[in-house]
Amino acid sequence: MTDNINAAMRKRRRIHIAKIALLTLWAGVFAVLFLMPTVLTISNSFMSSTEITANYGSIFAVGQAGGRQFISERVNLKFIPDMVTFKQYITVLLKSPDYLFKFWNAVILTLPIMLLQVAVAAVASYGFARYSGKFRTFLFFSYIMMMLMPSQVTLVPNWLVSKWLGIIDTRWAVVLPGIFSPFSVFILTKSMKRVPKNIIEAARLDGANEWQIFTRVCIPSCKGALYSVLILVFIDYWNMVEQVLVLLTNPDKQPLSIFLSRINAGEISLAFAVATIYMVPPLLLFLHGEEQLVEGITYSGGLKS
Amino acid sequence: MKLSRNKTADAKERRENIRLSGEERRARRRSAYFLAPSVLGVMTFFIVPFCVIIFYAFVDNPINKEFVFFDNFVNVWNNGAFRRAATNTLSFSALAVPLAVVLSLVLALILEAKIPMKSRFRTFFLSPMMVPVASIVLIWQVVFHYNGALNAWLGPLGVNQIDWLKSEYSHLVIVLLFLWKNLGYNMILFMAAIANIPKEPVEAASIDGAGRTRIFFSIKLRYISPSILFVTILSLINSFKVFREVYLLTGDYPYETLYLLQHFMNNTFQSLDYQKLSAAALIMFAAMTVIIGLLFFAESRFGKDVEN
Amino acid sequence: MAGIVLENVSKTYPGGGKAVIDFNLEIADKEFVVLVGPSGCGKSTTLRMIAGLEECTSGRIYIGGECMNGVEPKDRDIAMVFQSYALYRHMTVYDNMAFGLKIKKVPKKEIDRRVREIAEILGLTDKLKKKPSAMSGGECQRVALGRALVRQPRVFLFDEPLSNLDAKLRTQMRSEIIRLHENVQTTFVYVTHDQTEAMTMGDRIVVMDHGVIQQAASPREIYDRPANMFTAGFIGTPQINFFKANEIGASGSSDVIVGIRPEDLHLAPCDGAVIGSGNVEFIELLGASMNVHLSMNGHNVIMTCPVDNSIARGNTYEIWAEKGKSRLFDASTGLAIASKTEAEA
Repeated sequence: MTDNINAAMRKRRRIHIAKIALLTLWAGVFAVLFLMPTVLTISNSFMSSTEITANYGSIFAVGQAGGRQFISERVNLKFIPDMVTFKQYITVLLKSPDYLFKFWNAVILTLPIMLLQVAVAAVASYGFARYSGKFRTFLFFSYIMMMLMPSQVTLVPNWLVSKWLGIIDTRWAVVLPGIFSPFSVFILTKSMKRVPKNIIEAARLDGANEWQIFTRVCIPSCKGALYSVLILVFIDYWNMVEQVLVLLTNPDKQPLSIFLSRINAGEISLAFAVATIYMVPPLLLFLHGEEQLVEGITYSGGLKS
Repeated sequence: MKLSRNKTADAKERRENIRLSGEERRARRRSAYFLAPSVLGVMTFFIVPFCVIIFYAFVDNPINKEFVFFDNFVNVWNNGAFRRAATNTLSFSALAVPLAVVLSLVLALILEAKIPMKSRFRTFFLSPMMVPVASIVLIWQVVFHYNGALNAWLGPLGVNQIDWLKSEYSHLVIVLLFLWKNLGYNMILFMAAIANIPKEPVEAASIDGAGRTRIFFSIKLRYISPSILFVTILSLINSFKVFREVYLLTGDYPYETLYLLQHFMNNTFQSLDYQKLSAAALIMFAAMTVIIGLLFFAESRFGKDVEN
Repeated sequence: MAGIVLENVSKTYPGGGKAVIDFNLEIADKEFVVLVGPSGCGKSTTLRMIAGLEECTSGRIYIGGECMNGVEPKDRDIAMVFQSYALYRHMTVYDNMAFGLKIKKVPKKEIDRRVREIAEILGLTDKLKKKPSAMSGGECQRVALGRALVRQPRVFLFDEPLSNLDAKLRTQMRSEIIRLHENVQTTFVYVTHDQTEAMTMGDRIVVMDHGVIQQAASPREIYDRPANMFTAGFIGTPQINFFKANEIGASGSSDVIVGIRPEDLHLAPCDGAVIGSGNVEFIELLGASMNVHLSMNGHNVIMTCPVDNSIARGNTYEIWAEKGKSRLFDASTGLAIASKTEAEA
């Protein structure tokens, strides 16, 4: 009798373990697919320029003059370099200022947008969360609409204003609309609304005015959401393309995100190193704040707050 | 116990109901200061120019300002490039959205099945979101080029060389990049929904004798259905933003099937055709409004049953 | 000196719902007043109007003789303890207690002295560096009390402060708050839905229902001479028994209701009268005493008595009511019939 029960239990356990193993295997397969592009980019950045040209020359050689290296007919996708070298990085960091310059362009466009958008949004989200009326509900609804509109729609008004203000083709044309993009307002309002009403009332009774309630009670309570919004805004603008194409056509001021896709054949060996350098800041932010990021994404699920 | 009150007192009270109390007025005024910077900025960069766009869309040109009804819209609508861009964008969405929803749900279900190293896997699946597309387009080019790795792998299997980015398969390449980038975000939304399924109904059903499959389809799926709708429409909206990936992969002049609405707009910006720009933006705005309206409708319709 | 006066205070919500209707009450300085009633009776709204968290729709509120209408909560010199504790989750216990003083720009040394003094009284000294998330509900509520105390306000307001605590802790905190009131000598206004809390804590109890004061009197008075059927039924456990006068053979017509408390009923002859005979349906043993549930002519009757093993389920007994302990009410208005209170049932 007990033997039977034990046997049944063992059987169920075996099935369970088999199921978990199978699911883990699947997760592993997906994980490899998800990680491959990133890992390949990084590992290829440690290859010598001869190796890169040998591997990928057939793709990027088009229009290349001179060079008499051996170029394979088909590409050869390699994970592990024949010989690890930091030569590409040294070239990028010390010998070709153009890349660093574009990297810097990305920084001075992204940082002000990130910091100011979140600052403006934090203040506004307190305004939305603290009091709701018909007008405010309507306003919040229009923010959601704007947030969801693709750039094809929002860039037209941005472009028009930039023309009027005479800031087209300057950094302001990208930065100013970026600061007022409604995305962070949306997530922060949801987070602010979760601050219990009683705590705000307690602060009022403690003598705090609205600004003190905001800075000393609400902001610390929304730390996680704030951090996650910072990360999300950063990656969005670090990656920007269409704003730049329309509002900032001067190539000297364009960020690395655009420039990377235009890298020419002669510099293909450097491209992987540059690409790797460019992904370092967002990846660091991600590894540091993954938990908060996940919390922020969860807040964005569902439009009603 | 019951207080008798005369009619005038009732009327007075009703008037006071309509008027806001002083406290509410103060709260409203104070919180308006907090809204001011954001609202001013949004007005300046989005709403006011948008109103001007509406105006431009209905006149013949910005100087003459003659009202031409829907001529501009008709022109855009009949424009071959616009048509192609719209068709391409929609057919991309039709391929990308279902895959994005199903695959991210599968990923979320795998992770929520208590597999070992769950949080490690979550990090892996989420990481593409944080990698700038510009950084990995090189790999995509290496894989999908005419002389690229994919053809090199498929060659020995007897498959002819295909120029993936310049053929009818081009959408497939972009879809892969889109999925790679977006699955993680959707997966997090699904994971939150799965984690929020209340335990009681599931336990009640299993006591009532429902099997695992039955429980999944009759109870769990019902509880995550609002999220499925939300992710579907979110993916649809995101699929309209795929220009970024296409541009970085193929530049200003992509293969015909990859000519998207943003390409159309970029060309129109360059030609400074205010009427065409405005009318096109308004047409897209109208289409998006319908989709967003659907999202709100779906949320209030299907969300309320399972909310506590 | 900070008595509170509420004069014709009403609160109507924008939707038209009436939370409080024509509320008149004078609370003396240093008095401990308990507002009690079922949920939604307007007691919390009244408290929040005193705090200034909600504006009254009409009427006036005075604290210490000054009219408080339109005065900001922070300028009313009051402190409030919430049911949910409402502690600042990101601050330590010390910072929670010091927050109000910091806002008022009290010198650092003075803040430190006051916080430590109050922490000592509440037994929180070794917890000052902890955050609320690391503490139990009872400790959190003590911090909330401490936060109110350090500010030395004129009036303390309590909004169901013990409702989130378990039964044992509730009893303990109850006596602590009573002791606190004796020590600080300040006006306390305390809102609860728990009639035991109301009976044990207040100098005076204000029973509310549907936004209207049903009775405001001392606990003894409320228990012995309830002004109406609602108060009689709300205060006292188990609940008072109501009978139509003619049903129990008492003098008076059918529109007189007789209320008899469970402890005034007996199953053995006593100085009083038989009101009928009842069949024991079930018995709740409470230890020293027990509640006997009887059925009398299809009527449920509850009585309490010391534990008596001879009383058994299924038996039928004559039910005796003690002389002079029944309360009479008018069936149509529900109000107590004062002149006949002493009449024999």
